Amino acid sequence: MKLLVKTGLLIVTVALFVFFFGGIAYYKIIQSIFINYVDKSLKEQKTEILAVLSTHADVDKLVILHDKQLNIHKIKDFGSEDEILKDTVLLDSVENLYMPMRMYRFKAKGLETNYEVRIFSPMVEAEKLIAQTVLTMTLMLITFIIAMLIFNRYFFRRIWDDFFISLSRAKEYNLRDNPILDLKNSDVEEFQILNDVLKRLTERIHKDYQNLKEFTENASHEIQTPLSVMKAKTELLMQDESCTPKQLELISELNIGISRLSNINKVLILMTRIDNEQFTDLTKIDLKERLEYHLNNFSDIIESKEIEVDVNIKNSIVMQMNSALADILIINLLKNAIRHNFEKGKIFISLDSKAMVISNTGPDHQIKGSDIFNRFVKSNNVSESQGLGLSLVRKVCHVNKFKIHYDYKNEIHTMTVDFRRN
Amino acid sequence: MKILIVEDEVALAESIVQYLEGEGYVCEMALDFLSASRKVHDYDYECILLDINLPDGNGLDIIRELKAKQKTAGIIIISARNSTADRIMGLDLGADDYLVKPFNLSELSSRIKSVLRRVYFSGNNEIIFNEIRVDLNAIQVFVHDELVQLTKKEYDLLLFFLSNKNRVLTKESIGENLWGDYADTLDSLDFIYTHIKNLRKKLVDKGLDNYLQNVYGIGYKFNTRLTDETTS
Repeated sequence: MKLLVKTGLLIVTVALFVFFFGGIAYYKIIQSIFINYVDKSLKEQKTEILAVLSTHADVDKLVILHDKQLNIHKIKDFGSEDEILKDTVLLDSVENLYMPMRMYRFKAKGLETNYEVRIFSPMVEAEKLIAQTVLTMTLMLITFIIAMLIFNRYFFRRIWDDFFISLSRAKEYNLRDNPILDLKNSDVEEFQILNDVLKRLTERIHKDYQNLKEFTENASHEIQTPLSVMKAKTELLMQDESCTPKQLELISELNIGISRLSNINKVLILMTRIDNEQFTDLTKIDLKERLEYHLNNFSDIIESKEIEVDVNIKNSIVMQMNSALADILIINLLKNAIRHNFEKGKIFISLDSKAMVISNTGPDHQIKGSDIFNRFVKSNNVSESQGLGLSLVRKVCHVNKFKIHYDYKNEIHTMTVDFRRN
Repeated sequence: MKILIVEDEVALAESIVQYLEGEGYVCEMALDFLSASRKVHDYDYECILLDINLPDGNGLDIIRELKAKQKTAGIIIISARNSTADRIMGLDLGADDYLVKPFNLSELSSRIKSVLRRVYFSGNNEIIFNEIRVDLNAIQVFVHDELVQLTKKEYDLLLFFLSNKNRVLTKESIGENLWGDYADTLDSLDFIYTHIKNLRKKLVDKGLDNYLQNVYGIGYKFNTRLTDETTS
């Protein structure tokens, strides 16, 4: 959810709460003010009535007391002096409706007899008051929300502008292409702190990345020399006529180990070089031609495993890419399809403008999904595998913005290179 | 044939010398740029193996020096760097071949022979060993002057063996020489056996002694001495 939407929603929610409870409070306050006012006037009337009753004997003749909102009747015993103020209703004979009334009942001592007096005063109907409150509150709420949204849209955005700029720059940050994160200075303190932290972090990451790159490159190259010595020495040892067959075998195994180490090292150097963008010159590559060429070079190995290859390519597919990377991609995919295949297995190859699909029969190697492209992930069945070929494939795909997808179903492994760059 | 080995890693340089002396070459070592430069200046060599990353200079300058003096030496660069740019730069300056470390000595020996043939025997390009004659221009092999029909791989295999006579060649080094990146140590290298078997059969059928011998468990050997012993 976007920051602006989120704060907007929060404002609306808070406003709804405030206006709901505010409305209730408003209603209660208005009501009590009104009742207070009514009660006060009733008490004033009481004083007047008490004065009249204490000076006049004949109550019935008193005109001022002939009011439908005044009810006086005689009582014998005065009893205790109790008075009640309460809400009640009276039937309005004109409109034939019960009207809400405030009633004040009290006892009065007359000249000859005692009276019980009831005075009524009309009240505003509760519904009317509520309706009015709701209307007022709704109008205020709407005005408030509109004002807040306008504020949110224009002022809020202006305040957060520096933040959004920093955010989009950080999003576009690329360790390789543009190692310096260029952030605009902000007059908001927090945003400036954020910018400084981001700058420091990216500088640090860039430095680490640079160090790692140099280390990998130097280490790999330095390793090649001692490996050369080891390889040469084992080869010389092998020529020694006095070696027994058993010793020769040991030396040969040593030699194979050295070769494997050197192969791993070569692939790691290659990956570093791809990372360092040393394969940027692009040419038009006919993938069909390259695929057929490499397949032909693999033919001795394919024949020795008696693998059947089914190639389904109709037209030449020409891609703009680096020729060395194209070869690395194809060789490694084919090598993978051959190595992890059954004896007398099958390889299916199809190529069109959308994708290159290479599938092969082969045992389940229990590697889940895209893990297969990670470095040094390998199957148990082929223990000699380095688990580097496919991560190289992924790297080449990544550089070319191709998508690589792996699937295993019914003893068939399928590698799909999706050329659609989007 | 005199070969100069310019390599700062003593152990590697000594191994190369030992292997190449076994092939009948006269070898000299230069462990740094200065001595290499001096040797190139004072003597003539048929072939120079050149490491370009030297502690006190760039090996490529030795090539420039040679070319300036118009000396005709075969030059093979041996380098730990494997980028196309490095290769192209070396070959553009006039190197004849480029070998990436670590390499097999048998591979080096075979490259040296190939470079020497290119530089010194460009006209009549033949390899003759006892009853075998290889016409490198026509890519044809004759045994007792009779043409043997070989496939491209069998032909390459024979050349590799002829460059490394009496050497134990592992299956891995044969695979690397003939199939390069397509066959690495990870693959089953049984297919090499098929090619060797076919080559041996074709040669023996033409009346050649069985030079091609198995070295149990590790590879093959083009053994010329055994036949000497049996015939003498």
